[in-house]
Amino acid sequence: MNDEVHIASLVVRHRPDAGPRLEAWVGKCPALEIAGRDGACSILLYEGSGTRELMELIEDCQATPGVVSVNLIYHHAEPRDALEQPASPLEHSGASDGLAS
Amino acid sequence: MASRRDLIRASAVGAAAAAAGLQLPVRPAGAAAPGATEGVKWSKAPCRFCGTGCGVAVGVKDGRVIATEGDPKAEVNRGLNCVKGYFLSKILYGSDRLTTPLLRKKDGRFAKDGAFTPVSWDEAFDVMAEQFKRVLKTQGGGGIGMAGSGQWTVWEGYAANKLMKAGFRSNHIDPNARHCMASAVQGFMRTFGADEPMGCYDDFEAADAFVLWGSNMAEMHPILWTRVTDRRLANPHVKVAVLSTFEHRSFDLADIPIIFKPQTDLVILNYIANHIIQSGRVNKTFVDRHVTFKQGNADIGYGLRADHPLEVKAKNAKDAGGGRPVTFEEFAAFVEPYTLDRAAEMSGVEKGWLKQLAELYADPKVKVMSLWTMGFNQHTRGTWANNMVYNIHLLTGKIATPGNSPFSLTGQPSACGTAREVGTFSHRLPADLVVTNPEHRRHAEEIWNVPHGVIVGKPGYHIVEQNRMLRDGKLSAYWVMANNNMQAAANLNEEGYPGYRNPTAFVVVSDPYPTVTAQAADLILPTAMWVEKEGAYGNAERRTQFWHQLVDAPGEARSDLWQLMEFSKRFTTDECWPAAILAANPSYRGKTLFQVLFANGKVDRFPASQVEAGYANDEAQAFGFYPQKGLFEEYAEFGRGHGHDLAPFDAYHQARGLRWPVVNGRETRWRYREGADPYVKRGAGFSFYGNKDGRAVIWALPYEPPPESPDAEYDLWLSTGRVLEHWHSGSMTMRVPELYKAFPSAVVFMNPADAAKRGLKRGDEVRVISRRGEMRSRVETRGRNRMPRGVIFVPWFDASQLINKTTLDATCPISKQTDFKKCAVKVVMA
Amino acid sequence: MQAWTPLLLAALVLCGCSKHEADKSRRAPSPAVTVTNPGQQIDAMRRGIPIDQEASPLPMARVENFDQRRPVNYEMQPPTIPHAIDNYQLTVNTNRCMLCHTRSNAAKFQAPPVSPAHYVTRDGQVLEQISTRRYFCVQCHVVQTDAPPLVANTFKGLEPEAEASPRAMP
Repeated sequence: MNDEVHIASLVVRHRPDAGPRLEAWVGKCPALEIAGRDGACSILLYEGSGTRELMELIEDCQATPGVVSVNLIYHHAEPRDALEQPASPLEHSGASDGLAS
Repeated sequence: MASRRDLIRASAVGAAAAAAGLQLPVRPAGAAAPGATEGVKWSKAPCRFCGTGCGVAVGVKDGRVIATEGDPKAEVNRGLNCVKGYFLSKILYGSDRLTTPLLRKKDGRFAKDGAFTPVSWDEAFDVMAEQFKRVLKTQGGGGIGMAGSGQWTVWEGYAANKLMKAGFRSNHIDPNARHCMASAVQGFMRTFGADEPMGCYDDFEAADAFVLWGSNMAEMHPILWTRVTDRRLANPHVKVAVLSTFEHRSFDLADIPIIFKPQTDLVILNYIANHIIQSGRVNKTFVDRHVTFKQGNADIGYGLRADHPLEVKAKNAKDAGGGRPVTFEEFAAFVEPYTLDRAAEMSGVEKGWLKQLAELYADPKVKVMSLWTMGFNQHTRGTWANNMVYNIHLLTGKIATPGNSPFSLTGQPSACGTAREVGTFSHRLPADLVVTNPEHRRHAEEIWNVPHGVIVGKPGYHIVEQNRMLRDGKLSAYWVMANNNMQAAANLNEEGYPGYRNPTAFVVVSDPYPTVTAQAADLILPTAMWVEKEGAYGNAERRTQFWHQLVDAPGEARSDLWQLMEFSKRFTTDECWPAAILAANPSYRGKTLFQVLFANGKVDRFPASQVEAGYANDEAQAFGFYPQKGLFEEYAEFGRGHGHDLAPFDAYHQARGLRWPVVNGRETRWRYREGADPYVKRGAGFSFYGNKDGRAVIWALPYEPPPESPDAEYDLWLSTGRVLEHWHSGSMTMRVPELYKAFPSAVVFMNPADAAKRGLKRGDEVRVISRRGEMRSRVETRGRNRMPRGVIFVPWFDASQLINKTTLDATCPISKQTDFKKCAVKVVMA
Repeated sequence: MQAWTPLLLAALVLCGCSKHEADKSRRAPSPAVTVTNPGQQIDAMRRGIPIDQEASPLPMARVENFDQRRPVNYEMQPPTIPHAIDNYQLTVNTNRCMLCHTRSNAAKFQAPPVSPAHYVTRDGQVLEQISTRRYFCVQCHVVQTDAPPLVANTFKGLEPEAEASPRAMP
């Protein structure tokens, strides 16, 4: 159970000038990275140990000055060894099921 | 090889991007899907299908479209598409794309009964020009006709309009949009004096009630239906009423489901007006200030051939659109006989439902949006139906404010943008001008920079009339572009097919695919489609949207624009214009139509170098200037300052569309209302400025019966229509495997009891027979439509089952739009 | 010419099939249709039948019901429904699809859960429940019948290998 990996994405809406501050904060969190940004909106990608850590990070993020809102969009958990399997085309289609349709 | 982990990370980011409305792709490095998205260039474009005008993100790699996704930044659809839209990328790649002109030949020469033979563009245009010149000599410009489309891009329609109306001096140009929303147009013109809706899609999020008048939005306008669904399910007070002659998917959301007998929508509409008056809920302030009343001519015939007994019998067949001013009291007396009892009796609808429906309109607290397409428009009293729904919005003042919106939906991507705004109808010129008005003609001639007198003052043949005139030998050179009218038009057996195959007629069809219409032609021109050219469409909420050329067309296929402009080089003014005009304007002598219409100092004033870097433009390359920009800017002269203002050309390549009038860089969401519409003066409140007195017209119009009803022999009503998976005649969607396999063949939707009575069961082969012809299909007693007894529904997308062999080419006599929803047939075992 | 001649042949073969089917199951087969001039019958959708003639329609196609997921061509393309949905109720009060495909039930019914994007509103808010704008599933997700397409399609998506291996469930 403990060897489950959680992958999640967050949409963070913030003041345009808060981008660098958010970037600095993300830099200090090993489980987070910035996956995209457009002015006042950033996408954060989370990969880590579990829900509790994720929720704490969301709270911290909300507390970051200039951040307006944080929304959890995608959350997926799976055993680590399964994750390292190569992706077959079909599984990609499965992954696409897990995408917007 | 990517791992599952990479994929899940990519999915997480993709979902977030979609949710946030960020432009694709925003995938992190190293998390790309297998096959990689590197090298994919994403651009915006409007969807190629219906009039909703959804935005799509088009992914291009190595010169091919490899993906289309809902554009999160497009206000219309915010990232969603319907199933057709999600498979849009595949319409370009049907393996039978036409890649070379095909001419019917026998013994090496053109022959009407020859076999299709590949020829060069030069040979194709040589033969075509020879035929057109033959007709010019023997019949004049009046022998030349063109069937166009609400799928033409704005500049293609504009170029075609100029070529026909100013070049060949023929007004016999009409779009297939005639079949689609001509009644809506006439409804707007008669009530407001100006075409197109006053409201916009923002009304969906503001309305308290939605009334679908004979529209099946769940299948035909799925993305707008998501906005209705969203509003209804997230706000429990919202009500949805669905009216139809049979039960379809939109009924899944209906709070007020109403199945009425064909044609009795007219009775229901007058009952609602009567109910509003009788219950004292007329908005007197609004009516006094902003409305006048008229009584329309009755007994106006059915738009059939003039010698048809029904036309001979009709008192006002020659003045179908006429009327006289009346008072409010006279109007009230006119609708008074339309009581609840009478409405219930004639329509077959329970009184309780009718009353609930009427209350949606009568209750001043309920903001109501009326929505309609083919149920109203394809109706022998289609213009009336449009006028009558405006009546009930005007009586209550529920108009031009957020959520109060009589809204005419459109079926084609540029029915508004090209057919209506550009004025490619046989009676119209751009920006609501008409050929019958000498002032309008003069104004158009000035903008076009052609001599006065070039534009003919008489309306040309509309698209229904065109088939009749081909058959009668009055139209002899005919160019069909961006439509499939052999499959789409009613009464194929008696008018369409004999017309095209008339030995005196030379028929040219431009299309990307070998359609039924192409098969009936003499010359087929292979045509570039959608993102194979730079384009512009205008959707149902007045939103003009542009796209760039993203890929090359296959083989020798060329855009309609190139075809029109290139063909115009083969004619001179001396061949097309009368000597008197040339004598008075000698500088035009000996010029080609290309020089006069396109190299006129306006259309050719923007250099090809202005095409946005990174995008191809085959037409700019061919002609040495930027024709799309020149045509658009010339066209925009018609509307700027006249309530149809368009933004500068380049602005549309940046924006996700803008709703006209665009004044001082700002789009207009609600017309006719002070504060929302820059054309309404301060203090006016509302102004329906399309009419000289600034007032909208409430029309007193009666119920009249349809031209043909079931009888002992032809004992069923036939309604034709569309399905979710296929767009119109299916020439694109039938070539997408997923869409084909979802709904591969047309069927006859029939009530199980009606089937049993005829000894039929589901799947049986049947003949559908009318007085005009027959077709073969199979019985469907289940599925998405639940038919009442006595009514069958047959979709028309299937080229192998041409239901229009049976339909009647009766039209609304005012709008000339065919009623595809009502004729009498019988169904027998094959 | 070369672009459509093979298609025409394919169309004629299909046409023959349909008549064969019809003979087996129908009481009154349509009269045979003779294609008089192949150079004139170019619309593959008409299966070689001249416009002014009528032939037996294709047999009623059956909905594929294998419960095996089909690959998609690119992200955001809605997966087709791999099972029959006859008599599924989909109304204001009942959504039969979501009985199995909702996030909380998907594992129990071994059904793919709907994607997270379905939980996002038009205004970008994330909900616990599926967004009401996505409520009517069949606007995007459609069944597939066993009807063989009349015309091939040469589209290539991002994952060519995915296209080449339909329904290869490991």
